[in-house]
Amino acid sequence: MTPRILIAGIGNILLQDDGLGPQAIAQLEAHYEFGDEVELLDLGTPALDFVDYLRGRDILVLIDALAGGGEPGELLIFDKEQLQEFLPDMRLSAHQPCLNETLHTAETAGIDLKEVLLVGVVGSSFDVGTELGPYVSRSMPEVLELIVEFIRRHGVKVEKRAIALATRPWWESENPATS
Amino acid sequence: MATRINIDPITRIEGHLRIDAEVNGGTVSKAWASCTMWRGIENILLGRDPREAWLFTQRFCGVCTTVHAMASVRAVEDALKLQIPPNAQYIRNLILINHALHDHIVHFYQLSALDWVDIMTIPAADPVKAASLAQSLSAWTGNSPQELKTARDKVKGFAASGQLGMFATGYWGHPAMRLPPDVNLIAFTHYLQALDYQRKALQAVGILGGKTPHIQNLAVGGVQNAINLDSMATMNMDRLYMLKYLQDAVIPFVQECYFNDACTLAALYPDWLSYGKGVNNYLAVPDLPLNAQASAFDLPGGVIIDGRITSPSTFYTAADGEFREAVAEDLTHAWYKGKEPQRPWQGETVPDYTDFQEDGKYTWVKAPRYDQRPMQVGPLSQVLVGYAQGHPLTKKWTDLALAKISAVSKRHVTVNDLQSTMGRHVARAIRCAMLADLATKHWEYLVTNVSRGDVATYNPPKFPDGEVEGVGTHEAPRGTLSHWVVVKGGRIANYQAVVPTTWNASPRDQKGQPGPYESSLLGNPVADPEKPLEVLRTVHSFDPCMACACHTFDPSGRPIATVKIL
Repeated sequence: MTPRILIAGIGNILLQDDGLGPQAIAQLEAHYEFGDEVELLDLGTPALDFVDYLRGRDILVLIDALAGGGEPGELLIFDKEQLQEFLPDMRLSAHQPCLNETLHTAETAGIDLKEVLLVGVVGSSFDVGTELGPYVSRSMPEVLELIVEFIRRHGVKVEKRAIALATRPWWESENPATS
Repeated sequence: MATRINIDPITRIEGHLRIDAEVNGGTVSKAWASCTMWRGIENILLGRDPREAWLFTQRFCGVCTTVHAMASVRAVEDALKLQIPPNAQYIRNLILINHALHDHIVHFYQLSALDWVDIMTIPAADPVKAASLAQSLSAWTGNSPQELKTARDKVKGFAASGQLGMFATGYWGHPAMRLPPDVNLIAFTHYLQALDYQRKALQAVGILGGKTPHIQNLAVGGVQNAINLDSMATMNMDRLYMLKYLQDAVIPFVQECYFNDACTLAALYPDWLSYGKGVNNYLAVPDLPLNAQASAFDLPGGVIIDGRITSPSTFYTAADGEFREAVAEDLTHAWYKGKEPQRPWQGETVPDYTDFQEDGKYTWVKAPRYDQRPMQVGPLSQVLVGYAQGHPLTKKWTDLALAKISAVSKRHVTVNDLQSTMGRHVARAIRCAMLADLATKHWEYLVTNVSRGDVATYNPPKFPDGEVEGVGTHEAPRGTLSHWVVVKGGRIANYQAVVPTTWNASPRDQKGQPGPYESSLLGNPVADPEKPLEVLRTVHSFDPCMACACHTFDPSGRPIATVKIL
């Protein structure tokens, strides 16, 4: 049976490099056509409601900006086991969303993800702004290729669109007042 | 000799809420709340088209997406004096109600129950005895011995494997954890069920909002839901009944399970009805408008000063002058430039970072004040304001809660006891039960109005050439939210969001008056400064949401939070 796959872009589109995840989802949608088993979602910065989007999936692919762990623009990959090694945060603010906590909660709720892949790019600028910085932007093609390859390896159809859809997401539409 | 503790979760790039407390003889004698994250996100809106502002504001935060979208369209409509059709009010109200049901359920079970419930005692629980206890406390149908046994075995499995998963960090065995194993098992069983029910409420938001997260159906002037009962492509009876089906599943969970659990928790931790009072000025804005003019509401708003629950001042409409005139933000102890308190329309967000200086500037949160007073916001404020006005729905659920807590604790618990750490949890459950009633009511309003043949959902906005100001309010799950917009020549000239957590996590002001978190911690017991569970209990009771920003995974595997004894 072909696995049911969620590709989720995580991050805040208003904070420059943090918008990597949603931006990558927009790019994947614009350039590729995926089989029905695949769903692409821009989840923004979810808290525990992230768990809701994991139900009924076999494989989770996450795209997220990284706060450290390498040089800006460096692409790092984590699997399920590595992610679960990070313990849940102690929460002070009760809404600090947290990836490892999501995965642990999903497990507690009986959601059985066979495979998890986090594709991360180390960011450099997280100031207010709707555009990705240069380091993360340069890594984008590699992120997309890596994900497409990963999906194909699981026997799921991915086709490159002959003509790409509009690639500029709505939040990057030029500000008419300043243009 | 005072011990200084500092709680600072550090996994996010910009940091979040940080609490510093001085502990003297086992109780907190001084406290500071600091947000370690820059919040100048409103600047992104300057110069933009006000009609699209809501799409950006709902990205402020990943938890409160919907509420920032709603406050934004309301702010622009207020500036334009633009009414929206009744259907649009009802559809928006149903979104807000279902979002709040989801949010309150998650807050209680997933985000704060484990401050009170010691998971590690559960293997010793007896599912049969626990089931009969649970059944004696409520009519909830999810209390069968089988269900409780499954939950217990789940914990046993975690414990036996040594893989505690999400329960790996927690103050298990802490002296302040006092519930017997059977009660802990009941709570954990409902914790698991809550994951299913909160999801149904979110699905209801999706039906009306087009998708979650980030609803797509709003517009300045109404909503974009096309209504045609004969069309498969629009909102029709099928969709409306799908919505009702979801609501009908969530309502009993809220009113029989969550409501009773909150009351039982309060009854079994009665001392927590006396800790954590803090600022006893309360603010709530009216919400769930009932007509196009937004002149009548299903949730009451008002102000209570100095805990005088008998005499609230009331403002009936969001457009009422009192609220507009009274709100100003003090910058004395926040990392911003500016001397005098600023009204939000004139508000500036110019950073002036100094480092943490306990007598100087120490946070990125501004200090909103209402007639120069710090105010507590949140479900407790709304419940107290409603109760003081004799609002029937508030009274019904509050009196029921007080009776239940009194019966189980065998002491006379009054509405005044709700001014406490535990009171905030009970009030949230009361508000949630009220909203569950209102879910059905507003669904009926919408269906009745549509059945009469009214399918209007949108009034197009017209922007004047000159400058106009507007404020959009929403009584969000965490309390009073207001967006303040200045529109000039059809473009945004200024935008400020005064969010609930800004009120509650506010720093001291120019008069030295501390904010609600800071003052609520005073007198709070701390049995073990290395494990400040009691501090977390009080802070969590406000349902803080600092996460209006970054969500970046930090793979460097540093410690997950620091508790420093200084």
